[in-house]
Amino acid sequence: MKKMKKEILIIEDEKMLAEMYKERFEQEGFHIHSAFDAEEGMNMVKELKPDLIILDILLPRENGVEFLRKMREIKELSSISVVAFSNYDDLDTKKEALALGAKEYLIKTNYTPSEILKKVIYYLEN
Amino acid sequence: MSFYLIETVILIIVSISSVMIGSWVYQNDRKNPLNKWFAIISLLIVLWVNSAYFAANLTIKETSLFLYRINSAVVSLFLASAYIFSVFYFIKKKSSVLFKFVFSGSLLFFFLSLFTNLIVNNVVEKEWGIGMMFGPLGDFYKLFALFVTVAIIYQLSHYYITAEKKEKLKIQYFFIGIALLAVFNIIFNIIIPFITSSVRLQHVGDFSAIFFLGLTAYAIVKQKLFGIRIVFTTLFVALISILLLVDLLVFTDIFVIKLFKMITLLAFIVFGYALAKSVTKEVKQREKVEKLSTKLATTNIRLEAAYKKLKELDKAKSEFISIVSHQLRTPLTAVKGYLSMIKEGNYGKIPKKVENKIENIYNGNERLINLVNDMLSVSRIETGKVDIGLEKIQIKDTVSEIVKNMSIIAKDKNLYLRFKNKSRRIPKANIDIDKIHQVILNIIDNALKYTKKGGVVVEVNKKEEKGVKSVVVSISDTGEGMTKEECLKMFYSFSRGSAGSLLHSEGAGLGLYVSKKFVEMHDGNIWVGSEGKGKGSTFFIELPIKGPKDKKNEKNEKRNSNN
Repeated sequence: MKKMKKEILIIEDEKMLAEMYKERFEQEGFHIHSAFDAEEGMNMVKELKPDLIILDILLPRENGVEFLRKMREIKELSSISVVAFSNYDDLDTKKEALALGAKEYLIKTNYTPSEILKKVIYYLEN
Repeated sequence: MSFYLIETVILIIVSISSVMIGSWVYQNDRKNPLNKWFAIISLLIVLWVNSAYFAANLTIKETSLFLYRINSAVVSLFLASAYIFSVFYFIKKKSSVLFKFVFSGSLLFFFLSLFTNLIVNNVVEKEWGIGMMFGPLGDFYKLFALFVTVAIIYQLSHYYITAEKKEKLKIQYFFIGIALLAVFNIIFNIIIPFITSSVRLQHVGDFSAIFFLGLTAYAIVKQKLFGIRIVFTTLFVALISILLLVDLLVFTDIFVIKLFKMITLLAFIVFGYALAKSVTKEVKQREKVEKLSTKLATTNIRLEAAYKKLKELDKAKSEFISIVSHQLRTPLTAVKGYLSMIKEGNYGKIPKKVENKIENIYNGNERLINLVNDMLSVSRIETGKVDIGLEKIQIKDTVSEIVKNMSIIAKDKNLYLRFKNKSRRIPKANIDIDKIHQVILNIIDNALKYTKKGGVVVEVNKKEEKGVKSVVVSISDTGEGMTKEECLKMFYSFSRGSAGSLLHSEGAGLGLYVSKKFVEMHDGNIWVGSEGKGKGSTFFIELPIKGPKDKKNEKNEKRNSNN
């Protein structure tokens, strides 16, 4: 039985954190791709069509919500699960992200990488 | 009553008034050229009316001729002075060409009048006194006078259009004065002689100069000017009174009718005075209202601007806080992440000695994370950006869940944590489950932290007071206890009671502050009671079943959608 490795895209501008999550997720057997801004992220989404996207909100230049909005406008990309994931704790932004179809809006500092992993697995299975 | 007598009386009145008005204006401001020229004009007017009067009423022809010549000269001086006064000082415009013309013209006619017979040719005896005859240049003189008058009026009109309100009022007064002077002169010097072919009344028009003087003086001296309506009203009343007086004195012979007319006149004056007073009052009131409404409008504009600025500042503040917390959180996330992975053994086994230290660092980091979270909550509460989502909840379920989750921590500390009287019937309450969960958790957490032995008992009760039904969650511990003072202070500052400040220093008191705010959002109450030091304490959380009175969640939704 061929076990397909799940492709996950992390869009995170803090290198330190991106590496940390990549390390943890790869341990679990996922294939991780990183993008450091929205533009790079968009290109990678179009190219890879990942199974799930972990999206940071505060990104340089274009922010995560804008990225999400653009992504939803492209039909073939609109079905990809997105978990919004940020230390930016703004209520309006949270509402916007959820309205644009993000599965959840997690505050990074409230979760260990293992806990995030659990969430990701949950959303991949549903 | 003869015409002569009336004329004499008027002369005396006008002369004295002119002198008085002139000196009043001059005294008002001796340095101002405006006032000086006005005084000169007043003097000239006195000379004007007196020379005309005496010229007409003396018997020696040569003297009369001389006086008529003086009169003519004085008039030309008056023309120049009036021009200088109004154009130079009133409207502060120094146009050189026109001025040179007026000045040289006046000078010319001054000399011609005094030393030649080209203006005033001769005098002739009439039945009423001595009249004068114009010389060949008389018409030119009249034209010149007309020209100067028109020039003054034209320049004043021009200035009037662009002047601001206060100035406009002054000019209005001046205009009326000139208008009256001109009108009276035209009537008495041109129209009546034309109709009656008698120059008897020729110089009566000159007396109207008094109105000109009066009005102009008022315009100069008074800072606050009444509106045009008051002036007109007063003038109108005065004019009619004069007419009635003249009629009464000159044209009535029968004593009874004279008496009757006198009564009418008096009644009219009283009426006129009352009328003028009421108009004044009305105008004053209107000005007051106008002033107030302008003030109101300005205040409103300022308020709007201030409000806008406040909103911007508010937005900036919350943006700032959000961004700062983001910056604070990034390193905290890295520490938490890596430490958790180390703890989980991702990097191999950790020596026992190190394990403990890692745990300490991790806990310290968690405290920092909680602090930042609390700070954000507080800031959001303070700026009113917190939503409250109400649902009908069975609060016992929430308590059960929390007690279950916290029992591990309690066990670790050798404390008991019990939910007493679970089976008691408690109605559902309209609350925001997330927030109340946070509050109860916080209180129980605190209770466990500050209790060294014994444990914590949680109970849920129902209460009815003044027709308001509520649920009360009570959390009792066997900890340090508090003095009455400490109980009161508990929620009012970021304090932790003396127990907290001396022995325990875990966590800031922000948790209690946030809890209080959350409870208040529900129109509830939170307080603590204690029997005293060493006797433990009980925290109470009271929540009305119906939920908060004003639909805060609706209010916040509206506010958020406006943002």
